[in-house]
Amino acid sequence: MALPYAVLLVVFVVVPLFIVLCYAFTASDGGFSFDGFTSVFTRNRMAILWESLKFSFFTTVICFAVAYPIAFILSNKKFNRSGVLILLFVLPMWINFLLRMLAVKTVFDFFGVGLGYIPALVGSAYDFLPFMILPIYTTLCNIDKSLTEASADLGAGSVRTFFRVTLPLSVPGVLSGSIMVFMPSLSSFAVPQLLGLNLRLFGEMIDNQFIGSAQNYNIGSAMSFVMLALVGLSMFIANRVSKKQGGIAEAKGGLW
Amino acid sequence: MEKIEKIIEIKNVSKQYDGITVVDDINLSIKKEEFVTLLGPSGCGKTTTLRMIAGFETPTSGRIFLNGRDVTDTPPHLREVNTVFQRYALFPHLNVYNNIAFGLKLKKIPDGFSEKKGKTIPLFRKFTKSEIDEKVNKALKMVGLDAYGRRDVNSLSGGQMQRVAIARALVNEPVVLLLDEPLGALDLKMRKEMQLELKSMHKNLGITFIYVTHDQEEALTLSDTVVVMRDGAIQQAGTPKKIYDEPANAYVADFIGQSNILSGVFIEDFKVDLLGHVIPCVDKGFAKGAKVDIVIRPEDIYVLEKHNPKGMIPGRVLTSIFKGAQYEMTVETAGYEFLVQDVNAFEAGAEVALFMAPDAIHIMKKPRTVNEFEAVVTAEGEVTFLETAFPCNTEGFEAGDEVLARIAFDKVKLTDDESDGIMGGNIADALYKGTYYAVQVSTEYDEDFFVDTPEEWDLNDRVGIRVEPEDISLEIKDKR
Repeated sequence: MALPYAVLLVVFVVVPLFIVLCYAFTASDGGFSFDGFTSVFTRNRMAILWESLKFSFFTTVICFAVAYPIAFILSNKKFNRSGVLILLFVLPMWINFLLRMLAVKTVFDFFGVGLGYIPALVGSAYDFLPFMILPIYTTLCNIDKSLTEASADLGAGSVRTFFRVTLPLSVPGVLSGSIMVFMPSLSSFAVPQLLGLNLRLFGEMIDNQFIGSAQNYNIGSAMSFVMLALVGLSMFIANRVSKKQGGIAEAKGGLW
Repeated sequence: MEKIEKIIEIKNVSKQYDGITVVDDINLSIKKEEFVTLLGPSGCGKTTTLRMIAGFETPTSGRIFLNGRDVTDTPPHLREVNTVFQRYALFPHLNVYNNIAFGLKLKKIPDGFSEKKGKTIPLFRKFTKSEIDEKVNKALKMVGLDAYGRRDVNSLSGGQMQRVAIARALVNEPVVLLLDEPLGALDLKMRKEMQLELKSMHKNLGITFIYVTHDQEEALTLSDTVVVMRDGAIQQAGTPKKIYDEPANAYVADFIGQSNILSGVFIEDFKVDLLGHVIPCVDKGFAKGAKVDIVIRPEDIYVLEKHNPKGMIPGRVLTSIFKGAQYEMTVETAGYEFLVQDVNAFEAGAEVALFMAPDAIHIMKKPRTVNEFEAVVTAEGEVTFLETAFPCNTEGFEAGDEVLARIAFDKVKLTDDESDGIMGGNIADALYKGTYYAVQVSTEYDEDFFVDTPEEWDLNDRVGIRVEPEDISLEIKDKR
């Protein structure tokens, strides 16, 4: 029964990863070499990687700052009786993202905002917003109402109840939302290309190695490999943190 | 100052959700240091009442007073009451110690006065760390969890969680402790243990307890006062003994303990007709010939030899089970199957006679004697009530007349298939009354049909309600 899946897995996951690995550890003549990696770990490329990390970080922070209040309000049944409102916020997720970004660009053009770092950041945050709203929203909805009641019962007003009960209990949602935003935005290349003008990020650089002007599969693969390692690392850290949170709400609300 | 103070007063409180009345105009006062239990089946409004005292719900109408102060609109965090929740509601992100310290860390206590421009301003301060430490440890000790302070609450058993929840509430020294079915999730042995502990805590602390449960045994064991509720209304409030010995109506009698509930006719003072036998009783003052409900507890019936001259009602033993202290027997008589507890055993099949002392026979007025609905004559031969048209003899009335439609209990017919009835309803209650079942059928329109039927109906069954046209009697409303 599992055979077709195994075949799919091998063809579409293991083999491509292996190809990336092969390219990363070979030179253009096909011989074994670390050249790919040494050219990744140059000052210039590391600076761009750092820039990418910062860009992803800011995207995540903006998403969090915007998404948490929205999710908090929507998790209150009074405002979101039928769940239609949350749907409205998540709806753009199902539109092709290129279309979304072009739309954002048009909006910036319309208001005469020149492209650059800030518009790219705004576009990127807009792009990933639903991925932050959804897990936080689910976690908040799953918090037992009697916990906030217990807090009020013990003398905490609504502000204190929020900071002492609701916020700590929504950490798993915030974490999984942050991963959902941070990781894909780290490798994004279309957003900076479309909205960033001269903004150069790591993802775009990889893109450049494969279909762009640079055309060096070995360096591109080595860079992809570094990126993969980073993604894996951030996932590992997030996992550790949420485990430390002690099975709060039994990791409810995560997207996986 | 009165010696016995009223700590809580509930005045004409009603609560409606989306037009449905959950609590219906209740009045209740609770004395200081009393252990009061709100008892009733689920949906009777007991939890809603408790939540209104805690402040989680606001009454639709009426006022609630705590210590003489109107707290109806006071938010929960400013009320001097604490709650033990049904499912504990412990904070999963805090350990046992911090759960218990939660309220203490927020609390402000009076700390002397300061004189400013001739005015005395009361000062407040928070508890110090060592004060909190002392109180939390004392609370942990009280519930027998001394060494559990650093434990993760998720690692505790149900009983331990419940203890933490109780400690968390009591550590704040509330004026009133509210407990919402706190033992509902525990197994029987643990329940019994916790009941005793709660009782002794109540005794030692001198705090008023308000306890919500659907378990009548628990209510009788724990409380000073039991408040029996049904359909959002208080049926009876009194000491456990009073509730048990003198239930206010057949409903209370049926809900509290086992009982034989029969219909009878009041002959004259101190005499009642029970299954065709004239039986002496201690009640007086009912109308002669009035239909009454009669409650007899199983332990108040004595089983005698068939020819014993003291015997009142002849019967035959159907079953006989040894229950340790006594035998539990069912005795079939003409018209009713009695449940009896007696120390004298009779074999199943034995011909016997039953005796009951006059003071064991408890007589209650029937709460209703007829179904009565406000209705409108909608056409010739048709009357409408509960938004449903019923065929009926409308001679002497005109269309548009506002009338009262009355239907005797035994004239309402129930049908298995809803479509066979004129309207539909759900079986809300069924009480065996000796020769028939007194069935209550709830409709969608907030009013119920009361039906006497020889057939047994299952609770919550959907049924059709049928009434023959000639069985509906009408009366012009203004005549009243």
